[in-house]
Amino acid sequence: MKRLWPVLSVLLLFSCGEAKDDLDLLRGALQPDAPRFHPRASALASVRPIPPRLEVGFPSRGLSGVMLLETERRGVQTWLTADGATITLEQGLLTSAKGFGSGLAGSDVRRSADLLLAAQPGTAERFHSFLNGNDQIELHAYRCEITRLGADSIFLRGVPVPVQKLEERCHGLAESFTNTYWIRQGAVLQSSQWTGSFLGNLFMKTVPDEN
Amino acid sequence: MLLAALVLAAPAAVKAQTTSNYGTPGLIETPSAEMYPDGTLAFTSGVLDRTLRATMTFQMLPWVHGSFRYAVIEGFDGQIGDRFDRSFDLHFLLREESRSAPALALGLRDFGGTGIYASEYLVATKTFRERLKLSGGIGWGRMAGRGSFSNPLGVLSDRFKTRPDASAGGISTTGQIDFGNWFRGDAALFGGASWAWNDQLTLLAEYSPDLYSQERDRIGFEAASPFNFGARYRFENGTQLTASYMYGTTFGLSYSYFIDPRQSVAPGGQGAAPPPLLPIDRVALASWNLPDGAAAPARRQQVLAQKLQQEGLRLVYLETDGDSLRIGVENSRYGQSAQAIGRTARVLANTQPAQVQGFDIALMANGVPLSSVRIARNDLYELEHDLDSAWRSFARAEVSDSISLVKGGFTRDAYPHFSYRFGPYLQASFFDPDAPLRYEIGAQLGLDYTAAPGLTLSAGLRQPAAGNLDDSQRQSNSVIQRVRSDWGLYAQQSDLRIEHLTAEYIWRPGENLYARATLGYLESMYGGLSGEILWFPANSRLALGAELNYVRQRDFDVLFGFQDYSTATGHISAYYDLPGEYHAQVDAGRYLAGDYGATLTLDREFANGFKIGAFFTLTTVSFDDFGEGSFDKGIRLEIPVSWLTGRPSRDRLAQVIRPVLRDGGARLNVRNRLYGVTREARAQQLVKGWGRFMR
Repeated sequence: MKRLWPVLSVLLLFSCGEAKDDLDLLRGALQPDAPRFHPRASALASVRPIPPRLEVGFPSRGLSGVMLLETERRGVQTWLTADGATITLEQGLLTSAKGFGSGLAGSDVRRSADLLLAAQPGTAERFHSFLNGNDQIELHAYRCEITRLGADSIFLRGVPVPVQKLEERCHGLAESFTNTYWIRQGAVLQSSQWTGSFLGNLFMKTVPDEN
Repeated sequence: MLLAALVLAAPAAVKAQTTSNYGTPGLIETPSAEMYPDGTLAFTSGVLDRTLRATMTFQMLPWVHGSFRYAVIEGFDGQIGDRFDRSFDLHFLLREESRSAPALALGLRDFGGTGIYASEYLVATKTFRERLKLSGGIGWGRMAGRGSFSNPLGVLSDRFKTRPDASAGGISTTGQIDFGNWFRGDAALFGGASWAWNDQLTLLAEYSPDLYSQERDRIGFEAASPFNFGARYRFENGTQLTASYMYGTTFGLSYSYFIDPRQSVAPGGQGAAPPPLLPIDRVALASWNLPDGAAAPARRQQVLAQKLQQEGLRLVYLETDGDSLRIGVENSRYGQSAQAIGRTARVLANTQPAQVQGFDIALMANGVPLSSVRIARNDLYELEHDLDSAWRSFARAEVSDSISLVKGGFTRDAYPHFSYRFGPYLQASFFDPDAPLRYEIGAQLGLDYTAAPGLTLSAGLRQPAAGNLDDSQRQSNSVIQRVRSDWGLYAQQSDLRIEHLTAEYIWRPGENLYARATLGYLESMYGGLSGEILWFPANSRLALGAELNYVRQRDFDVLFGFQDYSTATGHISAYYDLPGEYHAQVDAGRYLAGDYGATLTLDREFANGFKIGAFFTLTTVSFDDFGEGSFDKGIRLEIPVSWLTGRPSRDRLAQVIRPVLRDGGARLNVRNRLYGVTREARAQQLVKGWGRFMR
């Protein structure tokens, strides 16, 4: 019998080629929280002036971080995390989240946006599509009730800013969720929006420019 | 490794069935008429006295589940030692439960094995107020123990009144399907109840007529009472633990773990998001698109190659034709080809000048185009943020056989291309009758040198480091040519192994056709020449292939030498992608030992690439000459690594589980059979994975 443990361990240490991916996977499994910088994020971080930023967090997982605005096209903003995950926002409303594990692939939230940005209570339908664990797209429809929770204030860079706080309670066939928005002058400054049942709500807060 | 990996995966929450220690829906030992949700994989290990049963059950259809069981009975064979018993079950739902009538199921337990557990049953289960379940039924064979009576089927025919001795033919007849014994001999009644105290805890009581006669005679197990009592606890992740007091003499314990192949660890995956499409004016203003003379196209190609590489794709072919562009890429990252195509399309839109309106994207393997997908640039812009972008984009994409390649189209750096792979491997074997699991771990090195499109020189080396694969002392007792059953000698007499060393050429002789020729050490036991042709229209569910090989058996040291045995072997194959997640394959031809016959393989394939299947081979080798098992058969399991990790990967964990590996119906294991190479890029597979096109 070949007891070649030393050989094997040396080989493991020096594994290379595509096996590097395997080791990355292993490392990822052992240290899920270790930072992984994506080349697109590194490139974006070196852009000057610094692109607009968004403070984000998944309260359900105790994760938080900063996203940078990567692109805006036809009113849809794509924001990027350091490890290469993105969200898209349309008028401040979340329309997709890719790379976080939840499969929010696309959304139609125009009816909600119309009411929210006007700070109007009412009911609206919204639609989300999800990429599921079987690589299939599922379309889900929700009926949402938007209510005003009244005036509130949030702190941006330590400065209190008066806002309207609104809540949107949505019910679908399989799941229900609640989004919260802090809105000023037709713009969403801060929000907590649902990304799907896998990760729950994503908290987002705009970071105003220094000048 | 596969099983260990599965344990790491997220278990599925299976609703309130109880699983018996035989690993199928039931109470403690007796079955019930329940089914798992379609597609569920259930792993159960049950212990009582000196018996351990490990069972994998797969709900292959909503109304059929099948099981493979490995049982160890300590001391069962006296002097020889423990008994390792492999058995297969099939269980059919005859009628679903309704408001007024129970569910009804028919079961065949151990229908083709050594017959220790051989029994058949008809069982009914009715649920009351969602908490109480009553089951009752009639069993034959092993179940006809305590309180058995003359077979009621005897009124149909006298042959049902007696049951021939299952082991009369000795070990050589095992594996033959015992149609002859089913539902014959005496019968007995069984039954029981389960009551769900709450969502976690269920109490169980049953009457089991099993007398454990063989165990009583051989290991002194006494089934003093037919009543068994147990409690089952269901954990939050869906796994179940059952503790029981059995047969008035012993305690039992069983644990079940469930997997839903449709639920990967992270539904949308945790790999990096695709690059968003840039506004077209920003692309036009990019430095590589500015009209600064002759260097622009070269600079653009460089940027394209670099941005593709960032997405795990290698640019090998590029050709502009008016307002459209033909591109060939090799995908080294994504399990779904649709995702590779989507990423390529995005990179093209973000790098190419505005006048390029259409992209013909060909997925290539070693320089051979597998298929081509035409994407209109404007559709990308229109659908990027669409609610139903995946399906709408598929409706607008055109899948065709291939792009027409011109000589100057291959990029300058594409070929020759060298790649290597270095890392650990694990080889497991389940087919040794003396040990349920043999394994070997070590280091492997793979080298591939693609000298020109289609022509690849390839080598694979393995250095075993540890394991018990070579501990097998069992000599082959095969009476036909020993084409596979000497595997123990290969493991013992080899150290550093040349798994393969080949020159391979793959080309396209015509539309919808692929061809392959391979020369060299084709696999660890055979070397020679292999030729194959495959007909596979781009949009077809059906593919047909033919393969012819002339091979010589390699020396047991798995280095350069050959033994005396040489043979011609080859098959005609038909592959059919059945609707509804099923795939069938038939291979008919001449096998390694010179026997003629056919192999039928049926797989359940989930869209995410998770596969579970079974196969059997019948050849001109008689059941007697084949030996233990009577004919070649087994089950296979294939799991994409991305299913386990949530990160994109083309790697797969695959394991074939055979009850026994012998010489009849043995096929050559040549690498890169054309169907496996090409299938991922053909329309049927693309459509299954298209949900990832925009991912």
